[in-house]
Formats: sequence, structure tokens, C-alpha cells
Amino acid sequence: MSVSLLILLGTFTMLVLAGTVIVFVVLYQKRVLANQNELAQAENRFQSQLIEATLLSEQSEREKIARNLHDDIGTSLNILRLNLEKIKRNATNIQTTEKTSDLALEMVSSTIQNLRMVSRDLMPATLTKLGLVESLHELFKQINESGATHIELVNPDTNAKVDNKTEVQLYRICQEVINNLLKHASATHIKVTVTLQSEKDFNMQVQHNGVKFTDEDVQRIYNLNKGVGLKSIESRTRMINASIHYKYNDHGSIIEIKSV
Amino acid sequence: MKLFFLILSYFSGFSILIPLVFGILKNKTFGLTLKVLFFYVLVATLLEILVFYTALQDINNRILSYICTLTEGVLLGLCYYSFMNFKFKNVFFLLFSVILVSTISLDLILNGLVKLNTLSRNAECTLLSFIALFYFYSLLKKPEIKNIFSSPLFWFNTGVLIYFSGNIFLFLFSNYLDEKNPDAYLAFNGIHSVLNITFSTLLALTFIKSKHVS
Repeated sequence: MSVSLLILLGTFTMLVLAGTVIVFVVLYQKRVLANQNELAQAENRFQSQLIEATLLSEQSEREKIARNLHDDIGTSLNILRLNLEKIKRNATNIQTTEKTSDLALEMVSSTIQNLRMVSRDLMPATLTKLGLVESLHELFKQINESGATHIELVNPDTNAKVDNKTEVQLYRICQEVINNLLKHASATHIKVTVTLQSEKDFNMQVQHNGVKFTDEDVQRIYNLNKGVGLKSIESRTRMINASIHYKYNDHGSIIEIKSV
Repeated sequence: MKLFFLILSYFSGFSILIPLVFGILKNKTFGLTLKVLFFYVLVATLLEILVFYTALQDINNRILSYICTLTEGVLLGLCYYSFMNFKFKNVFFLLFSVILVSTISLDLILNGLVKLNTLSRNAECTLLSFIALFYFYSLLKKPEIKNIFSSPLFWFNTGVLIYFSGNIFLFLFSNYLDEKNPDAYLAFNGIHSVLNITFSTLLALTFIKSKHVS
């Protein structure tokens, strides 16, 4: 082969290689950016769904509180006012006054009880006073008393504490998870393990013997644009910088909320 | 045919004026990398004028080829140094400089001012082609630029890759052809001229694409 041909072939090959590299870089870059764009859009869509779910959940909470205030406390206070008016009108009639006073006192006690329930729904007193574990203990005690299921709380004593915001969210997540399990999974035994390693390192596992439920099922529900409760849980989990996974093994289904 | 290649080589020599003009027009928008690149264009223009003048006066201008290799290697290497970020960057560019200076010294000993500095030019071409490929590889690994065609560095790197990889074989055999087959040497010089014009055009595009101080 002559030197001229060698140079010509060599130069041509080098140029073709350089051109191929450049074209490949351009095409690859475009494809990667398109994929990134698509992923970002999907994430945005999902974020919107989560926000919507949170808003819906908040709205339903508000409606529940408004209903309680109007139906129970409002009605009780109205009856109390009527009773007080009756006492005023019959001030001279001791028998009627006594009878109506007793009724009014009963009504005040019942209203106080109702107010406590509303207040507990808004923020359990034990959560601010005694922390997450005690509040969950209290919550599970109430549920266990109903006899619908048995919930066991396991808390390896680590003396660690998470901040108030995380405690509230973990409590609400647990409430929602238990609510879902009772409503949809027909679980008769639930075991909740709360491990607080440090302020930013926590883990909550909810193991149950109800219907099998995994990450794939969650995704399927999301794809159908359903699962307001699940999205609300996911949204709360993200708020505290944690991840949630739904798994299944020989011991049953497990829902794991873990700090990231 | 000889006249055609001669005219082409003049075009090639003066093609450096294209990036020079755009460099002057856009230099207020330049960041460090493009400032170094603009300085390279200024030096290259000065060298082309000197080559043109010495050729007209029939003076031996082989020394200019050494100066060209040294300044080109150092300034383009500095451009890459200013925007690339990778492990052992300092060691790599130190090695780059050592190889460049060593091969130029070796060329001075072996070829003197009689022949072309093929060794150092090839070392320069190989090293710069390697850096250009490495930059593209880093783009593939971490695609940060949204629109690659609007990035000045993409055009600069494309120019470097095309020019230096395309010239490896031409520089490698330039002394051989100059001695044994001057006609073929002139024809291959035509290829070099086309690559040089392409490089100048892409450098001009690099300056045109500069929009703000990076």
C-alpha cells in the first residue's frame, strides 16, 4: 500500500470516527434530556396528585370537625341555652329549676366530652405532652377496646426523639395506615414497630395479617388515579423526608416508613 | 491544480480572521475559557502573518511551526483546563505540558530547523484529540447542557476533535512526503487547509454562541 493511500485512508478514518463521535454525543444527549424531561414531568404530575390528595384529606378532616361542632356541640349549647331560659322563667319554681339545672349540667358534661373528642382529632394531647410512642399507645388502646382488631405496639427503647413536626406526621401516617387496614384489608392482628434511632433516623413498620398489598398494588391504584388516602400517606411521608414501601413476606404484609 | 491548492492554502491561512472578527465583536461576553481562546486566536493570527511574510521573503520559517505547536498546545490546553473538572486534572495537564515540551525539544534535536516538527505536532494532535473525546465522554456521563448546539464549548470541542484527529496522519507523514513526493504533499496540504478552515469556522461559531460571561 502506498504512503499516500495510507494517509488518505487514515485521515478519512479519523474524520469518520470524529464525526461519528460528535453525532453520537448529540443524539445521546438529546435522548437523555428527553428522558429526564419526561421523568420530571411524571414527577410533577405525581406531586400535583399528592398535593390534591393532601388537600382532599384536609378538607374531609375540616368537614368532620365542622360537622362535630355543628351537630354535637352546637346542638348541645342550644339545648343548654333553652334550659337556662327555662330556669330564668321558672326561677320561683324550685322543683322545675332543680330538674332543669340537672339536665343543663348533664348537657355541659356531654359538651365538654364532645369538645375533648374534637380537640383530640385536631391534635392529641398526649402527642404534645408525652410524645409519639405514648400517643400511639393511647390510640391503639382505644381501637383495641372496640374489639375490631388487635394492635400491638413494639418500641425498642432507644431514648431517641424526633422533632415535633415528624412526630405529628408519623402519628397521622400511622392513623391513616391503620384506618386503611381496618377499612380495606380486614386485618385482625396488627403489629406496629417504632424505632427512633436519632432525630433524623427513624423507622416505623406496620405488619398485619390482612389482604396482601405491595408497592405494585399501590402503583396500580395510582395509575387508576385513585387512592386519596394512600397519596395522603405518601405526601406526609415526603414531608418528613422519608420513604414508604409496601411489602409482603411469609409473616404477612409489611408497610415500612423509613427516613432517607 | 497547483494553483488551486496554493489559493486554498492562502484561504486556510487567512481563515483565522473569521474567529478574530467575531472574537472582537463578542469579547465583552467572554468568560475565562473564551478569553484564553481569543488570546489563542490573536497569537495564531500573528503567526499566520509572520508565516505569510517570511514565505514572501523566502526566509526559512520552520521555527514558526515550533512556536505554533507550543502556543497552540499550551493555550488550547489551558482552555480545557479552565472548564474541565475531573480527578487528577492537575496531574493530567502537567503531563500534557511535559509531553509537549519534551517532543518539541526532541524535534529540535532530530529535525532541527530543516524539517517539519512532525513528532511534537503529532503528540499535540493526539493529546488534544484525547482531551476532546474525554470532554464528550463527560457530557455523556453527566448531561447538564439543555441545548447542546447553543453551548460555545460544544462547538469549540467539535472543532478541536475534527481538526486535530484529521491531521494526525497528515502530520505524521509530512516530512516523508515533502522529501519523496512534493506533489502529493501539496495535495495533502489541501486537506489540511480544508480542516483548518473548518476549525476557524467552528472557532468563530464558538464566539458567536457566547451569550453571557460564563
